[in-house]
Amino acid sequence: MEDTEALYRDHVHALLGYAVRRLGDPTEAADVVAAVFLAVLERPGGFDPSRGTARSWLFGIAAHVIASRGRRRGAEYRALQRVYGRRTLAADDLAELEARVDAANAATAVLAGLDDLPPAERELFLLVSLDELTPAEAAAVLGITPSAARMRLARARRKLAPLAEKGSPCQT
Amino acid sequence: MPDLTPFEERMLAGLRRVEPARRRRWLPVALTAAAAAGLLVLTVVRPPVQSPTDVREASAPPAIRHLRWLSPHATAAGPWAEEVWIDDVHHTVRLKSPDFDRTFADVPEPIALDRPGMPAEFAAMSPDVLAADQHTIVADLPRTADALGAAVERVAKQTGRYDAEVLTDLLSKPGLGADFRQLVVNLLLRTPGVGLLAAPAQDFSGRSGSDYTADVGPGALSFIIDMNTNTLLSMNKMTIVNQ
Repeated sequence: MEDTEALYRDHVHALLGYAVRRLGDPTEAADVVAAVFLAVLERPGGFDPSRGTARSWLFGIAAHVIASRGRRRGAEYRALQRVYGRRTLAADDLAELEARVDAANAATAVLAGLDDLPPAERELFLLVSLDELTPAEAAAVLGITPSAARMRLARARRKLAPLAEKGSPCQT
Repeated sequence: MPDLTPFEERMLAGLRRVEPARRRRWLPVALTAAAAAGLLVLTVVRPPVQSPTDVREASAPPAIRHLRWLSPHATAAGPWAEEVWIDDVHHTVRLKSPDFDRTFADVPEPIALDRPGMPAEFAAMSPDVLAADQHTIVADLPRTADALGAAVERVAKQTGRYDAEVLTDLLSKPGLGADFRQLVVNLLLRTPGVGLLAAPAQDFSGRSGSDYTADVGPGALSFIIDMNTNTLLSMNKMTIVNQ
């Protein structure tokens, strides 16, 4: 548990940010993060440093859990129940995470031009600019090579740069 | 270490109380055994409608293989998905994505997406995992579990893929014999990180099978297998669609 706790302390905040940005729902985001750390807890030694950083590993698990959610309706909120003791958030916690959803929405809203990017470039750009992953970590999360990630990132920045120069609120 | 918010503290307290679940590697085996036992009982209690050899034949009708690759990114119309529907009986292939939907008729056998001479759209739709094809010649693969396992491991290393990806890819190929399919399925279900998600489960055309998931690093891979015939009915792979 010590290792898991250290991982949790280091990465839970970023993971929650990623989950609320991807899902837009506080309870679903909390359930995903609970599922990620349950998976870590139940698979000690599952992290292989040769395949990337702990952060990219955890984000990868979260991406996996999010992608599987629609197909595992019966399992939804079960992780939250195990870790948090209930399937719905208490009022204070709901408010805390709703504020993070609002912040995530606001952060993506100011990035003008994002909607015009292809999905793969958009997600990569957000992982790096909002979730603060390195390009190599983002590449591991998305299952692409670091060089492909760097190329896509450069392409995304090239597309967004003219918007920033025109004085739009785009922040690259 | 960063300070935790009150909610994050509560989650951590809950994690400390969680007891690690026991490993459930026996679950797929137990459920497979239960399914086999059930089939045996049905066979004994009720005379078979089909001849015994029919049970070993590939795929439930209609013989359509459905492969689907999901991107984790949502589009305005829903999740980005590329789908391939292969009908080995009528020799048609339907390629479908949010901005493309076309059915090809009279596709020569054996139908494989990356076979030379196939329409260019096939290659464009092929996911990265099919890169394994370039290194795998099914006919030359060994027919014993140990040797096949070693070959799969070699291909996985060469292509930077997980064993489960190579095995499911192999299982999606047409023309595999019943014994070879059984060998591949046995290897696949023994692969670390492969576990039962739901049984029974239905594929997109309503056929019944067992739904498995595979740990393939940051990607997600799940597949439905008809355990009676060891046929891969459908496969879902979360990946990034090349732009």
